[in-house]
Amino acid sequence: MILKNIIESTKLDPEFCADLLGVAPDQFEEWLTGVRPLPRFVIPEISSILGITEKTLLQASTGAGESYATLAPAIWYKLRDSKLVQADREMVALVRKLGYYMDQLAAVRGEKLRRFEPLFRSIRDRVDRTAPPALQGKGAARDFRSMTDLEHGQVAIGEWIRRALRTLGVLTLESPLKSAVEGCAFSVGSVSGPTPCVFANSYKSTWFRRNAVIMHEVGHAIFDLESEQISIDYTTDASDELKDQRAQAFAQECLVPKSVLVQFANRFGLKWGSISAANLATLVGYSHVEQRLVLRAAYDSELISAEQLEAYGALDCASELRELTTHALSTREYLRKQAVEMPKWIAENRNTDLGRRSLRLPSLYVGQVIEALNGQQISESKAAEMLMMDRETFVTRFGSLIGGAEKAA
Amino acid sequence: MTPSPGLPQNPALIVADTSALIQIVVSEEVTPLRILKQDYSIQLAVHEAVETEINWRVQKKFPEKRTTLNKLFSTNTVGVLDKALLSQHGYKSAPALLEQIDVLGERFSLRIGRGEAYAHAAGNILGVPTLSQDLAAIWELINDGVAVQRPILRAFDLLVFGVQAAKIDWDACAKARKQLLKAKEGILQCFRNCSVEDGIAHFYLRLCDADAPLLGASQPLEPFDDRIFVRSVSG
Repeated sequence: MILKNIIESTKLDPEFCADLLGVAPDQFEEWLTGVRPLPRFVIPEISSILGITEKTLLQASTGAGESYATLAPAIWYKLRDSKLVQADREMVALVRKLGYYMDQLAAVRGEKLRRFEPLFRSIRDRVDRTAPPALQGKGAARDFRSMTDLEHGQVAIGEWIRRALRTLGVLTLESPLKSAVEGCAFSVGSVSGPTPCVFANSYKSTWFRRNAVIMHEVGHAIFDLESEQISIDYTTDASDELKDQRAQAFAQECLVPKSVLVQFANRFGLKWGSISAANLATLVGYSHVEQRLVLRAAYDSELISAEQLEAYGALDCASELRELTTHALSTREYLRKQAVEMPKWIAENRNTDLGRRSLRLPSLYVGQVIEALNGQQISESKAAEMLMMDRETFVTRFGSLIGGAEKAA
Repeated sequence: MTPSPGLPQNPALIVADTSALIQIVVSEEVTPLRILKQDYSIQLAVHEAVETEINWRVQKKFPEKRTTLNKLFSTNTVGVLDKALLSQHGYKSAPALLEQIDVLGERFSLRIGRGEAYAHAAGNILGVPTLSQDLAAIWELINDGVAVQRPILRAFDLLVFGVQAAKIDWDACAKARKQLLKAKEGILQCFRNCSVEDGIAHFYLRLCDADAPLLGASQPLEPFDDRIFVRSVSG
């Protein structure tokens, strides 16, 4: 009965949980109601997804241990918010399952990438927590750029942040989710060695906007995940909370610091007093952030006045931007163009479906799974399991990339 | 019963993984499993991880075969490895054995699919043959320096064993093959383009009745072609 109470406390649908664990619903119901004890083989996975220790689950399976009320995993308290819909909770659960497999893959490959730990700690230690939140965020951003070598050349880093975050060991996900959630940061993987995950909702969003969302969530991951388990940002309202102001300042300073704006002005001969739509497209295209943010950064850097901020904000540079960069294409248009160059890494191939939910797997993770398969570190069935797709689908999508492994009879 | 020296001793159990058991369920030919239990006292068993996986996969992919699967479990033609089943088949310290299987299975499952991992772990710990369709999984284990309990049987070993023991005929094999083809399940190379009867010369039977004439190739053809002889105990 304890597992039933834990699942109920998460507000996750038991049928979805059964699908997530690869268990027939009637069998899962038997585990929930205690008709059958929770088998040991499934405990590490449930522990990783729900964020509850294996010890507690083992107690749950034997009916011993704490009272129900104390068992609700901390991360799910916030996920019970009425602003969230079932899709949000299920996406988090799905991503946490991905985290479980990422831990397994790291163990198989013998490399556990946790560079984020000393970096985040160092940034936190250097920030004066008594300073205004915007200053905390700016200072942290300068440290982040400096410690990750992203400030080199004073260029905008929008095109590099995903790679930089992967190198640090931060799981970065962009997937469409019909929900009010714009982005969130939470931990995945084992309870004892969690990995931060930043998620940006790509539904009706632009690449430029998502860069800001990703860095905003990184700001939360640095400062807030230790105490909060999950940080959620909505499309509908902007929060005035200290932590959100700090994360916003962090994102802005990371992506468009004054030095970068000045460098753009010099490079492209921009006059801040007379910015045209074409100039604005150049600024957006090369800074890799949306119009509103680049103008806000220029205003905060005292390069433009409040009136100019308003006037330039009303300019429409969409058509110029589409001429300038493929990132201005819609997600569908962009992925179609990418697909011609990288057929195996297109979104459709990296999409995994679980019941009614779909998740776009990070290309680096997919590549590492295939590498492990080709290196005979894992079997084909394990590779399919790690990509959360059945074996036939895996072979259909990635068969041409698989070499050296013996095929099943 | 103490076996006479030199005579084959039937294993108490054969441990199956998901892929092989699915083939049997899809083929709907379960007679060999039944006679193994009734006439040879050999119980087909699965780890709970395999039971869970097969229930889910059959429900998702082959819902029309659920009755066949449920019947296999409800009649104990296929048993789930637990204390009672191990004790019933003469294993001492069943809880310790199950614990060892879980630990080894968890280790294997880092590298191979969960069902295969726990099936091979059980085969190893209990020292009994494994029924497994996935040769790739076995290769990976061997490459990783892990000993796998042999022989490793395939679904077709059980089918042809049924023919060799005169419990089913070639027509039954043909029907089973047809069902597998219809479900787009993988078929062994030697039976892919011809009937089981026609391809039998290119098939090395790994599970044989010691008292019946052999069928198929007389010499091993593949790396995992190890043979086990069993004898009917039904008199």
